Amino acid sequence: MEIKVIKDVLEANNYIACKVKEEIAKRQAMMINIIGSPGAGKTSFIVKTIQYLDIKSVVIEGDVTSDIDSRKVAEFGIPVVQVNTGGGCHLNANIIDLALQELSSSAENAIIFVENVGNLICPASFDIGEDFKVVISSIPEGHDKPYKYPAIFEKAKVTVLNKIDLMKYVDFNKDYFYEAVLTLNPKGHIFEVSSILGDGMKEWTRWLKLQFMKKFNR
Amino acid sequence: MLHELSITSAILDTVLSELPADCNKVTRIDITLGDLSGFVGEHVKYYFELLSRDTPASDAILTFDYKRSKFRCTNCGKLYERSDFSIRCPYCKSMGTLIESCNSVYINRIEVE
Repeated sequence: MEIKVIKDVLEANNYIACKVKEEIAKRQAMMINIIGSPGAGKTSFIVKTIQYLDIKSVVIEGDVTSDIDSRKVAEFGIPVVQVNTGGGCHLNANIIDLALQELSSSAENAIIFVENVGNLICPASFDIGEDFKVVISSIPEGHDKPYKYPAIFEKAKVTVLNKIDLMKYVDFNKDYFYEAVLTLNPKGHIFEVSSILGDGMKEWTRWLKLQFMKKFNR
Repeated sequence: MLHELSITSAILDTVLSELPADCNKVTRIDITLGDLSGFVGEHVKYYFELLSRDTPASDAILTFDYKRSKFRCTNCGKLYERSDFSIRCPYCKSMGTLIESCNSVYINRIEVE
């Protein structure tokens, strides 16, 4: 017997993601899903972004195991919740739903930064209820990342090219990188930054603040 | 390869939830896989074999229909599909713009006994 199904296999996750989105809207907050390879500089980028912003911010740190990143974030006095996937290579909407309960009132009128597990494949497929995705690619990783992992560069509203200060030491073809990103995502935004030196952070955070203000007509 | 574990688990859950009460065996599952999903059919098969043990889907045959995203060349205007190693236009080698993205994983139909 044949059964027609035609069902997105991520339907269950997407249902919870919608619930999370509603919860975030209720809290007058905005959630950003930060995705990048291990070592791309996600944690440093989040910390530096929050230091440049004059908006209440909280962080949900996702890792397979350990609390190294959340301790680093907490050192700067930023409210943070650590979630471990216990082997899973991405966060899903259910994990975020639980983390939001833990954050309670600190995640109201705030930007919630979610640092996803270091990986460019699975996090692209699993919506977590975010307002938008940000993909971080760093200069030492090479210029071919958008060609090898097109899904995330297509889905992310923002591409951040991090560690721009290392450009002079690395054979990185910026035109080649930009060509792929703009082919996959012509309406996306690209910011070149150095999370360590602060290069490009003003432009990025000015844009981010504008998105936050626009969301609730602040 | 680890990447296909979660998606395969979701495929199995979906299939088992669709199984009518009077059926006890899934014999075939037809899956559509977008080229931008980043998932590989052969790896899904590998995990499915492990995850479906002791379930009504343990002997199911998995088939994959690979959907390719479409681009339009910004130079010659032709429509083209992404090849495995390039997103440039295969006719004039210029860059294009993504106009139809295939990044989902769908179950189209299942066969049961």
